[in-house]
Amino acid sequence: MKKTVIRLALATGFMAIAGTSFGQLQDEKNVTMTMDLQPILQLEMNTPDQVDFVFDKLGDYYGGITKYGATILKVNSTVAWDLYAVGTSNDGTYWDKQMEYGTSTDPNAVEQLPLQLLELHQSEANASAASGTGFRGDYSSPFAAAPYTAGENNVYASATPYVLPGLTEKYIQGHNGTADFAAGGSYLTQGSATNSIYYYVIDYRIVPGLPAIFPTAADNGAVPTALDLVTANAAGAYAQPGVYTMNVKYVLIENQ
Amino acid sequence: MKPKTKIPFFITVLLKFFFSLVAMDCSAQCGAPTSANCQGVPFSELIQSSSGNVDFVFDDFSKYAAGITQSGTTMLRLKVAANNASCKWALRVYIENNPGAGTPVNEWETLNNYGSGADAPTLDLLALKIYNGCGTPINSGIYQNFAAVNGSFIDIINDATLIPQGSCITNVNGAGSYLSSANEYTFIIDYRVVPGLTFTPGTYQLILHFCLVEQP
Repeated sequence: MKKTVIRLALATGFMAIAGTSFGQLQDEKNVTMTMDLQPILQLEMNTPDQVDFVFDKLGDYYGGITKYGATILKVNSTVAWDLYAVGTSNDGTYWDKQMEYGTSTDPNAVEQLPLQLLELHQSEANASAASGTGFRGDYSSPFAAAPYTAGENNVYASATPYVLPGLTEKYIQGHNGTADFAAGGSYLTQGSATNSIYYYVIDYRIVPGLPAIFPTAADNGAVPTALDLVTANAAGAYAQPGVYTMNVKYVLIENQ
Repeated sequence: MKPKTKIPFFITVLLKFFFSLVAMDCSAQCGAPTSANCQGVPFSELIQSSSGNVDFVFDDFSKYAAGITQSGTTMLRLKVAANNASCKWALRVYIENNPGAGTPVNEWETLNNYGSGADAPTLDLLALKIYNGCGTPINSGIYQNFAAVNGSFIDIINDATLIPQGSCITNVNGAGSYLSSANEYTFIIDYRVVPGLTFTPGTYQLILHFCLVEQP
């Protein structure tokens, strides 16, 4: 009986101590917030993906054909980015010959037309190309009239278009070095359509010349190497008439 | 028969200690009450009648630019029973970023990064709008941001003066219940996050602690 009384007293004591906290008003509820920031790199191109150059007049051969505003590029990015254009084909060096006009066996009729004969002009200059060591860091130079400056606007060409172009190549924005990039942003919110590194109007030009040797063709070395058909082959060389195609890829990539 | 009488006795003691520890654990974040004018749980209670998880998924540029707003995501209901006429209470929300995991004091806890970078979002990115039918919360209906410091808080109801149920003004903090006065004892919380483009993509997390505590 005595033990029972002691136990009851102890229990009452513990309950009294515990009750001091249990009886007071205090309650808590929790909410866990999770935020998933997914990386976004969007390159929009609403313009036609086929650009045709038809050379059927003497003036077209002499003066070339320019396609103004043929491609418009719009960038949305949440990360730092680089943008480059790369000309490519089956072999990554020459245009793909789809068909040949006539049955010429003239050894001077060359069907290996360098990809670099295509010239590009971008509306907004590359603001982050300090690490570039090539002749030009971008395609912002206006198309020049003859006499042509080799390497000024010629497209970068490669058989491996998804490998980052080297230091000697042109970029539309950013460059090979990690310090050369454009910050995340969008053409919707930053700058106007006529003054934004997130919005590019691309012009194309091909000048065959007459004879058709493509006098503007060159690479982008510090001192550009001419790639016109005479320099690349031999005196008297000219382009074999026919239908040729190549592919220009615009690659938007996170800065690296 | 003796063993049967010992078991309930010790279980009772252990349960009481357990509840004491639970109460003490809550007080670590909410601040311990120093009076007992109100009755404790379960006579008084903070009821969360909504999900305990809120997810913001930014997978489109427009969401980054304009943000994501989740309206009415959290709903809190209160019932506060009095021990005497001096019963009044405060309601706060604290922010926590799991500092034990080494999270910098001003950032969301990083669960996963997509790619490279180390610019985790800061705690002041989260905005809350708290409101009810009577507009009793401080800054009712206005988006507020936490200070970018782990443990910072926003007062929802906090007044040294007792404002009784039925007043239908800011800081009603007397005994009452959502059952009899839903417009004063129900709190709806909207969330908004506008990340912009400066933070590293990844998955981030934080915890909000809503604390109901008696005010002396």
